[in-house]
Amino acid sequence: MVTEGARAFVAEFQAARGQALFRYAYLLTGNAEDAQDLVQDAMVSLLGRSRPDIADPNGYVRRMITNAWISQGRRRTRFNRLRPRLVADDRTSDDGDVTADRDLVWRMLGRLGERQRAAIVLRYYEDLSDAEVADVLGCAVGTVRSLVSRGLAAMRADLETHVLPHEEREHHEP
Amino acid sequence: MSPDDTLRALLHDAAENAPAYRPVDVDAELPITAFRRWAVLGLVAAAFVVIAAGGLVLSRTNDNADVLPPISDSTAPVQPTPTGLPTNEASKGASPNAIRCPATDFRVAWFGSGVAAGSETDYFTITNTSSSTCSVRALGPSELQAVKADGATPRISVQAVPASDVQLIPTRALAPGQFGRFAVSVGDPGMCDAPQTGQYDAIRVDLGAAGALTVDYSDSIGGAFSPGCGVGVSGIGLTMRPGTMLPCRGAMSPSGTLNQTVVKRYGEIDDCGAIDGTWIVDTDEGTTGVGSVGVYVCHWRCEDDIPREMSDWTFYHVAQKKGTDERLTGVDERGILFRGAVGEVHFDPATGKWDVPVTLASPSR
Repeated sequence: MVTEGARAFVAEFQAARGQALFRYAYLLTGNAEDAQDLVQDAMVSLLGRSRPDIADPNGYVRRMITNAWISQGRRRTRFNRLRPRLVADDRTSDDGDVTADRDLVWRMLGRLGERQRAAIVLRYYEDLSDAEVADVLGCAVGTVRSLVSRGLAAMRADLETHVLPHEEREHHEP
Repeated sequence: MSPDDTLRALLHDAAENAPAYRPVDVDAELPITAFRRWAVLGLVAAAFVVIAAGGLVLSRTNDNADVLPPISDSTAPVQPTPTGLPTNEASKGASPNAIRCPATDFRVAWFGSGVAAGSETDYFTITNTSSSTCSVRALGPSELQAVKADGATPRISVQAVPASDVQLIPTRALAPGQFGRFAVSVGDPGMCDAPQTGQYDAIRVDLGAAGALTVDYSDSIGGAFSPGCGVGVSGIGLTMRPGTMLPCRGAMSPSGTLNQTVVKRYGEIDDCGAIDGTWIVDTDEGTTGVGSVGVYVCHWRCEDDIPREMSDWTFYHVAQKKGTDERLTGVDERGILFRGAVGEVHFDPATGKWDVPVTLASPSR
């Protein structure tokens, strides 16, 4: 039974934080449909709590989104392999360097495993400390550092080849 | 700009490009997602809700997490079986001649899995390998034991799910050679307040007096499982078949734009619908000269997972012989069955493969 208090709380919370959490989920999943599922399921979970007015609902929902993303990884990998079809790319496209940069981001993130990707996004998008990332992922701080380090290493080639030289050129142009 | 700052900027730019979030309508009766089922399980460990085609179905409650009552026949009425179909043929209602068969008469194998946010469901095939019609009234995963790597078999909290809730036609018997399916769903431990813990390599499916079958997750599926927010186990049921499958709708409905595109590119549509977790459309030889079969393997329940674009589908030429086509015929243990010029052909949704050489269909435009 969903209480009126829960409905009001979640409505207000969604209005305040829904889009931000969705963007976080979008970076994890790389597509809007899966991101919607993750965030909406987390919101429904919040709605189903007997007392949704927890101290840190943003952290709670972000943790649920992250855990759902990671725990689905193994099955997702296998199931996607089984799907004999191409997944439609619903990411908005436009022209020029902007598209190239976005393609690069998705390509770089695509190189990472679920936990690495979550660690990178939490660290560099959500700007959480290592300790805070560890709290979300439910692991030790050392593990976070390892995940981030290896994630950065996996992305470094793309970052250095495609982004930094371009920025340096711009920087040195008169 | 440092590499760290560059990465931050790239991530923020990509995130800014996300479309608008569609909030959950908190005032409406919420859609009962698979996840919600497990969330409720985790919260109260007693009652749960499941998706049903027409709405909400409440299961029995269970205050004792260690003991699960058997699935009542009253919740799983036998449905009439369409006639004239060559596969999975022997569902004949109550099957009064069915006998209680020993566990050794059944073979169980993993069939495939589906993922929804918050839960994972694995489907298993159980086949009657005996020469008798075997009752499954008392049989079935009404009780489940987890098996640890060391062989210990602790009981874990499970809930019974009517077969109809996982798109199976409830049955009370399996004829010789006939197969049924059942589903085991596990809720994501990150989605509930009090997840069950532990990693298990196998589950034991109780067959009542017949004994028990052990389903090895580590071999069949490639990993252990955690009971998480709860484990739901369905009754044994028969797969949907052409006479009972979901008809194509939306863009692929007879008046839909996608339907017209398929006709134009591949030929007139002979069959279109969801069967055994897969949307299928097959066409006559049309302008390509050879019949085509389009498939889309659903992530989860096909009701909620409808292919909307041509790129969602993969079309194959199965017959490969001019002037012929293959028709959807049913489902058997080897997959979705088609019959036509090359005889029996199976598409296995679990692997996405055909059991005969096929080619991707090139549309004529």
